Amino acid sequence: MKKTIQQAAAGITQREENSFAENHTQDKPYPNAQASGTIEKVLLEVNIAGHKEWVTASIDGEKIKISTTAENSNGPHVQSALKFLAQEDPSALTLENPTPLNERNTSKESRRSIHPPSISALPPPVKEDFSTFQELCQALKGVVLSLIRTGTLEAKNAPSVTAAINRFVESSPHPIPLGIARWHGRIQTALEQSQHETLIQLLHAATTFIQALQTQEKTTHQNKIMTTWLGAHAIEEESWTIWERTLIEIGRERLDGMSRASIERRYLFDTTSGALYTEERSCSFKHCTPISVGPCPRIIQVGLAEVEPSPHPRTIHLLQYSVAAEPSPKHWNSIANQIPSDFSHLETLYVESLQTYSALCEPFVLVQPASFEIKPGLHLLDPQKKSIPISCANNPGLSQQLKQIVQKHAVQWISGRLIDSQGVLMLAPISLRVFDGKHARFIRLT
Amino acid sequence: MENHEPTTSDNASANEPLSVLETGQSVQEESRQTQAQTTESPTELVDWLLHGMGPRTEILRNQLQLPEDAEDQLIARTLIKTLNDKALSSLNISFENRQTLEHISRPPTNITSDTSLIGQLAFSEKQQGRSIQNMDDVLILQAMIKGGNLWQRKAAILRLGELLSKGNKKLSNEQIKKAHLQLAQAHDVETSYERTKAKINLSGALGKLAKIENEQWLLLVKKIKQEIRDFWDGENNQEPIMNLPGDQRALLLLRTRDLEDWILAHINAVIEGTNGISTIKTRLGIISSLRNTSDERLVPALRTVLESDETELHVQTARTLGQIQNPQVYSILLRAFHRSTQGETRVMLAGLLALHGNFEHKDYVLTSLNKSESDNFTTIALEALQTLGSGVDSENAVNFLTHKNPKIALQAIVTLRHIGDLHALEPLFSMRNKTENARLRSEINDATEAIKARMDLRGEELPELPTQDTLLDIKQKKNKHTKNKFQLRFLGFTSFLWAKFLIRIGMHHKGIHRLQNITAKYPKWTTPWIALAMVWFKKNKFAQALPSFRRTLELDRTRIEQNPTLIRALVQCFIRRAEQMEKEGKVDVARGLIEEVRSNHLNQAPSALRFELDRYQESLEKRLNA
Repeated sequence: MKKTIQQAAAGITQREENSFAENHTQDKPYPNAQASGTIEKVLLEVNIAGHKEWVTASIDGEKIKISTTAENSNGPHVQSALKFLAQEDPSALTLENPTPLNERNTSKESRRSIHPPSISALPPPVKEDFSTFQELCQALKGVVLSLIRTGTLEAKNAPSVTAAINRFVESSPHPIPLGIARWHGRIQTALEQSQHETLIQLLHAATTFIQALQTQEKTTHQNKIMTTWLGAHAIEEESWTIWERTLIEIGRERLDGMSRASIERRYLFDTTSGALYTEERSCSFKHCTPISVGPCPRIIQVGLAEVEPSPHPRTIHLLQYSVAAEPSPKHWNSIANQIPSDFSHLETLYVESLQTYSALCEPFVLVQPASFEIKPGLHLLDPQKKSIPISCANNPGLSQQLKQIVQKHAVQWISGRLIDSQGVLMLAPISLRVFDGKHARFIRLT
Repeated sequence: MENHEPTTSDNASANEPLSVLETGQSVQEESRQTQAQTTESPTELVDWLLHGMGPRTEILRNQLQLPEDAEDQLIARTLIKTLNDKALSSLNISFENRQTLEHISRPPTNITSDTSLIGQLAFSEKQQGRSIQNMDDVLILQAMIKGGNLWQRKAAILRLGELLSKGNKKLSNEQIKKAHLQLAQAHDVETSYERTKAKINLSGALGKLAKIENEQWLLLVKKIKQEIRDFWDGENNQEPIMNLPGDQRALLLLRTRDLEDWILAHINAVIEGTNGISTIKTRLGIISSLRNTSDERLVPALRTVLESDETELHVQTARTLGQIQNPQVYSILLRAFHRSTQGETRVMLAGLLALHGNFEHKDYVLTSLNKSESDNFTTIALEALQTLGSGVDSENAVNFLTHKNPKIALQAIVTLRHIGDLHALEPLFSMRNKTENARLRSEINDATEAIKARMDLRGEELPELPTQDTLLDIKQKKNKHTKNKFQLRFLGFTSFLWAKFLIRIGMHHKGIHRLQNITAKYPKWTTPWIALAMVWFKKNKFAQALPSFRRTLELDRTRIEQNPTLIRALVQCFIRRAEQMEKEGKVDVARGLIEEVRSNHLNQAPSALRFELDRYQESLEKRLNA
């Protein structure tokens, strides 16, 4: 039987690897894709009538230990999983008593040593209800049309625009997906501050989304757009899993969504592949969606995580992880060693993201400046003297603080979001690492 | 193309610092110019976007080369696509055009009526070539410590410590003696960190005490570091800092600036509620405990809380954030002021903005103070007035000196102290003669000293002041009362010595029994009561120690209040007992204990303990009112 399970699990692993290789364009391919090994644990996501649960099968000698997120430890989800593993005959398996994973969480060892897979860490599924999307599509069309009819100069105070935006919010799926929330936050800011260039981008993003919603047979590009707006889970777009990774959180910030500062974004760096991920949650109306625990910075040993095919950096959902609050110099060095020293790649990254995802792309990058210019304004310079100005318009004090820091300390790297304003690529800083003469320090700015 | 940078006009009317292009044009201005130049039919597609297509769709349709029957939706989509394609193709991300950008931050407004030295040094480290960091005049520094604003007091203490530790030859022996005395006498909680830093390098008793405190702190840090590691490793299910006894937590958190970055990251996680177990109550507790730390590493987490929907945390968060000297703080406070809809939060923010140089919201605070309907709101408005108010506003605070709520009366005294107006002296003296509350008397003494110091710094002459010192009278009366019992004490002295000996050799039970006999026989002799109280205290029997401490206070209050060791033990005893009561669910009793200990003259008690008392009382009141 062990062999049977191993065969089944090997099949799953192979399918995951194929899927990973297809989708994962920016990370390095999984290093041991072709290596053979013993299957010790299999994780299955079982969907019964739209209700998804995780089932984990651990092979312990001749016995198989089953754990599940489902309430009923011997319910249909477990049965379906066993059926799949045993190739249609669940009774053929020798089982220990199945344990609900939630119960294991209360034990001393499991509180932080490893967090069990939790469906609550994933965004709640939005059923693909054609009528909901039709309504959303019509409402979004209304926003676009009312803005174009009124003109962006007057749109801020125009009742027709306000009404159209309100209707759009009402017709959005609930809980409101983070993509829609962020678009709402950005359009409100752009209208308030008369940012016409941003408005063009946001309206263009809306029209491409409308087209995608109206299309039955969606192209790959349209699927990407749908994922950006609604999330991969909402439209059942294929995500992939990663495991056994070490991530370091190197920044977090609050962004405007349905209300001010209602989206929390955390930026994670994979020390192995150098890939960047973002973990997001909605924090509004006294309700925050669940997210991983821990301070910033922190080290996250990932047991299992799910990655969405979203814009750079990709969205990650941590399902099994442990946290340590004290990153070592080794961890910090692994980051510093993987940051390119010149800025030329930033332009390509930004333009490509903009072309693909329009206004909903907000690339997060790490840069290693060779020097600084304080006047005029604070600029980062690479060895070829290419410069990127620092943008701190939403918090002018940040610019002053950064100036003070760069004048006092040697800066190892700076992280931030790429934005452009009037044709100039800029960095909205989020965190940095400096050397103050005695120690290297991480400074969180936002 | 997020137009984050140059054209922000968010709350422009409200004096928010702006970043603008050196060319001096915001997009709005450009648009207005464009609008003026635009004829009835715009020739540029972007003008259609700015002004709207309205009813003139035919012209736009022609410009976009669309068929005559094209619907508005199609026209809109084509217009957006064309504009976006154009913007993308002309996206000129150049690494060379940095010369075009300049960031100009509009500074906070310094509208202060005080043009004297103290007023000039209020909002900057260096003004007109003078800065506290360069001052060598011990007398001025002493006056600054008494009567300056928060930043001045901190800077003056550090400078004084620097002058003394360097063994500056410019200082005469007399000046050195005075400086030592000043550092020993300064006791406000807000400058506790700076005082420890200033004292630690000194020789003599002051330095020794600071070093002992520092060692205690280091031991505590060592312990807490391990506990935080255990917490994240899953070995401990309790948040380690909030789990500390109140006095230890206060000692730890008053010096967060000396903590390692990763411990601060842990504290930030507790503040933000991302440690997995923090409740609103624990977060509020830690935010209020951090009120006087002024650690700029806390800014991101405090900002997150202040911008969140958790309105119950806003007042305390603003208070903690406002005391931090960091360039970001001013703009965070200003944004929060404009966005907040809560009266209490807005009033608090208005006061804190004044601490950072913006006095524009004084009228709002005065109006709120006069209209206030709750005691809590009045206290907050008075607190805001202490940084916003000038001489003309002192009358507003004087009106509250006789308020029936001692908390409001106390805040009114503190406000008058910070305003520093000469005309407040008379009502303050008058109140000192009337009140029986030792804490109010102590605060009045501090306030009068501060006002005198400010007058000194302003070059004004002191008027003839009342000479009656009620505190002295009370002390003399008490001494007279106890001195009459000297003979009785002498008779019991042998018995007392024997009791002490028994305790010293570890026979606690017999020693305590003997002390109890002595106190029964000589009930008005203070010394055995103190000994008994201290024995119980050292054995962590706080409930048993309380009656002895209370009796001692009745017999000779001054003796306890003037002795740093005794007053520390007294306060710790009350806090620990209150914590025990709170754990047992007797919150009312706990609050009573804290109020009781706060009514004493606590200047000799360590700052950390006094701070913890204030914080703990607030926390208990909140719990009772919830």
